[in-house]
Amino acid sequence: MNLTSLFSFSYLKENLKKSRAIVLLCIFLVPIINGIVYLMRVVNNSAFMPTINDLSGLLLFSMYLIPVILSITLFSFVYKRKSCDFIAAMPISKKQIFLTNTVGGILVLFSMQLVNFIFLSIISLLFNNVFLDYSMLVDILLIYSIAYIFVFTATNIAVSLASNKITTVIVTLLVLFLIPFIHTFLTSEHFRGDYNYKTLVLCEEDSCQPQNFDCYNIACEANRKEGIYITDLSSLNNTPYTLPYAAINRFLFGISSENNLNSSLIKMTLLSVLYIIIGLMLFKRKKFEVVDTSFKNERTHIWVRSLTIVPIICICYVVIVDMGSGILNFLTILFLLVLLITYLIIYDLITRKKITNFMKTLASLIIVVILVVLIGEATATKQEENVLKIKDIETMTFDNSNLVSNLGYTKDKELINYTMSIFLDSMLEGEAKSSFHIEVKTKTNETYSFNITVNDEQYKYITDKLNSDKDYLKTAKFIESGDDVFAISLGEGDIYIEKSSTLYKAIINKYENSKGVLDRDNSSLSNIKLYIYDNYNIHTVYFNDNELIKEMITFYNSRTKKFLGNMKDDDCIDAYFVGNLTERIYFSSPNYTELDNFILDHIDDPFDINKEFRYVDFYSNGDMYTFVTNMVEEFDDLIERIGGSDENTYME
Amino acid sequence: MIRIDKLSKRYDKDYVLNDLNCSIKDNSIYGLVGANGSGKSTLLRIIMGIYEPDKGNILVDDELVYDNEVMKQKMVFIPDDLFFYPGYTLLDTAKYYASMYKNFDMAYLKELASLLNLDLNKKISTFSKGMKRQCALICAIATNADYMFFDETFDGLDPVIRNTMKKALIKQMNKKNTTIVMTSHNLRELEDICDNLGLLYKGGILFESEIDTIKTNMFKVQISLDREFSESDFKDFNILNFRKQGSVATIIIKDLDGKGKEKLEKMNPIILDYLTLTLEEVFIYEMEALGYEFNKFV
Repeated sequence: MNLTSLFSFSYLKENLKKSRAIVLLCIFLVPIINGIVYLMRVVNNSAFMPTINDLSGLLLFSMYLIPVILSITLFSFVYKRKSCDFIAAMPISKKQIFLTNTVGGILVLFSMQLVNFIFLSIISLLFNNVFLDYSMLVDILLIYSIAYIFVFTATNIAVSLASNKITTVIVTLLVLFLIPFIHTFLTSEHFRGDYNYKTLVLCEEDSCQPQNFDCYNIACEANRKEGIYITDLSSLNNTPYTLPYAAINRFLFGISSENNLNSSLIKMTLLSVLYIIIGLMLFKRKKFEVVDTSFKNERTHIWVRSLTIVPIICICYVVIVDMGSGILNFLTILFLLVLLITYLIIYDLITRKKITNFMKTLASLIIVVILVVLIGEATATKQEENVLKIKDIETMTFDNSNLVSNLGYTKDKELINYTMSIFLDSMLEGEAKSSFHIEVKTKTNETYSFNITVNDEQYKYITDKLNSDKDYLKTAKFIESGDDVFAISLGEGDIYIEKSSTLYKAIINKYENSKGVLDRDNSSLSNIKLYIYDNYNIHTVYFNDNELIKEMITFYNSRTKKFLGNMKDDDCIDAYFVGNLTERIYFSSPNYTELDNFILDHIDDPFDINKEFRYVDFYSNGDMYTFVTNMVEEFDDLIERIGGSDENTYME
Repeated sequence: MIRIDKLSKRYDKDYVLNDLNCSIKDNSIYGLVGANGSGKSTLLRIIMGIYEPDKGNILVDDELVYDNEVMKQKMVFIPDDLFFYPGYTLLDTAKYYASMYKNFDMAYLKELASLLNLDLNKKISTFSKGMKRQCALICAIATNADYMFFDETFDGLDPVIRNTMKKALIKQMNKKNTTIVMTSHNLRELEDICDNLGLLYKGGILFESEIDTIKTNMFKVQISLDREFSESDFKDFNILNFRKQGSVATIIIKDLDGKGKEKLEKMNPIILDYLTLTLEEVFIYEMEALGYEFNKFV
């Protein structure tokens, strides 16, 4: 078997040539609009740190359109008899047609992603107020290339099966969404309503018992004695759904799954290969004489039509179950049945241009309804009995802001019990210090996630434990090198510093020498944020460093001086904050001029970190500027004189 | 050589072709005739490997054709409903054919286009129906394929162009030993170009024969005897149609050879004329004999 028996370059060239308008539209339209949207966001000069979602919203939306349109365009000849005659009479086999169009489509979609990548890279390079790790753009290229190709190959299956365009779209939707939807329906409590679904947490040891658990009834007290706590904890869906379905699941049903994009990408890649093989087999069996109808026979039409109503009936089932029994419920069922039959008739008219026998329609509807109800009832019973046994927790993952990603987990039973005890507590004792996002995995591979807020003592206990936990230190991904950091910002308002500056290098150096979970204090002035792009997310690592504070303040003041020196008439200052080591206050005054003059007069003053200081933060065009001074008495006098204290609002 | 063996094809439950057997010899022009819906176009599409037969098979040069791109290189098909890529000129279309057919002769195409006054660089969509057919036909001829299939070949062509195209096809057949299969509703068109004719009826080939044999084998006989006579007087003949007006009868007799003519002369006719039938008349009388009643529609 040589390459020419699989692929025809001449056919590809001519097919792309005849569809050049749509092909060019597919390649350039979305990247151009996406580029314009990005440009509009960066052009206003304020610092912008885009996430993958910021740069790929349009790509996500068009993922459902572009590959489908492209596939239908490349295979458009199958929908008309005369074009079928023309192409099928050519010295080219069905295998060559299918594989040539598949390869051609993949090249077009990859070209589109490449153009998008180039546009985004150019814009990011042109504007120095954009802070991003360029590997994010490579990831966008990779993710959406795979996702688009996946949708394209799914559409190719539909093209091989269906004989008109509308049916092609319907079959594509079924191929993409039906199986994962049924899986979600069967496994997710989101389809059960909030009333029935509870997770019972079973704590059989003293160390996991909550310190403050409020019970307001006897049943709760009885459960508590048994170590049973009823929570609204929900298990996370571990299934790595394909990107098109995961997005639908999130936006349409509000169901999020674990961040397992890598698994999803592998799944989409494997499925794409599988879909190409299935598509090829189906295309080789395609009857070119069947055009302008849904399928070659009515039986297939009825099967596919029945599949389209499965999701509708699943959702109807949930609605009816939630409504309970009664006359209203009966009327709703009747109304839904009428709607479904109407839908089936309209479906027939659109896809096949004739109405299927009513008895066949009714029979197919009844079969689907019975199946959905039976499966729904069977799985609902199973789901209501969900129990999380703390002793069955195998690993506990701590998502801490000092980590690049949430991969760090512990198997330490003591720490697991301690953390669960905090989770079960009704209220936190003392002042909140920090919070952790926790994920637990059980022996049965179920995943639960929740957040805990901790006080100083709890925070110290947990961080100490984690810092000495071998499993945690082995699995948690700390910043290994300063090269991983793509941006650093300081202070409350994310003042970004240039990579070439000595302060940037000093901060990186400092951080590289500090391993483990770092302590934080509440001083906004000494806040340092390191930004790392990893696992498709931007992670922010917070830490405070008082040894670098002098360099930081020098940086704040010189930056503010530069801004004030270059201030134009139309630049306005939006808000002022004043603060000291522990407080930051919103400051309003009828007369800011004196404060501006004070800043200008003292901005070049020497600064001593060992002395008491005051600072001013002000905002202009979305950027924050900070001025720090040791002239405490003069500053306090000024603030008292020009600002009515009653008008000022404490922010923190 | 094209051999069709027990070929069947059905749409839904209706058989369009049923147990059809036929053979088309090389280097000939085969005309396929049949009533509307008799399956001529379907047969061509199956021979071309566009449709897959439900039963039976078709061998071209002893090879199966369906989805066989190597065999299709030797074959070209122009359907009745023509298709051109939107926005394509004749030159674009020719280039497309050239990219698909290894033996495509671009110079010959340009020569034919020039002969027919077809602008190579004008969009085909702006051409008239007849011009579009000319484009399709000259592209097909220029492929130099061994087997050419034309459905409703000369549909929309004016008499002058029709003759030119016929000459081009005959020239091609003589030059390259091409086998041409064509269908037409206008039997007169096939009469002067085809070597063989097949009549497709109820999913099968009713008869196939050389054109000359068909014409010399069936006669319209006008006869008048010196006595009263009826159809029964001619029971020894294969009569397809008998009409008598006054004392003169017009009889369509099939398989009328020399002996038959002698028999007629022995009846001492007052008038005896043998008229040659047109192909169209042969077709109509054969169909009538099979119960296909044209007169009902008159």
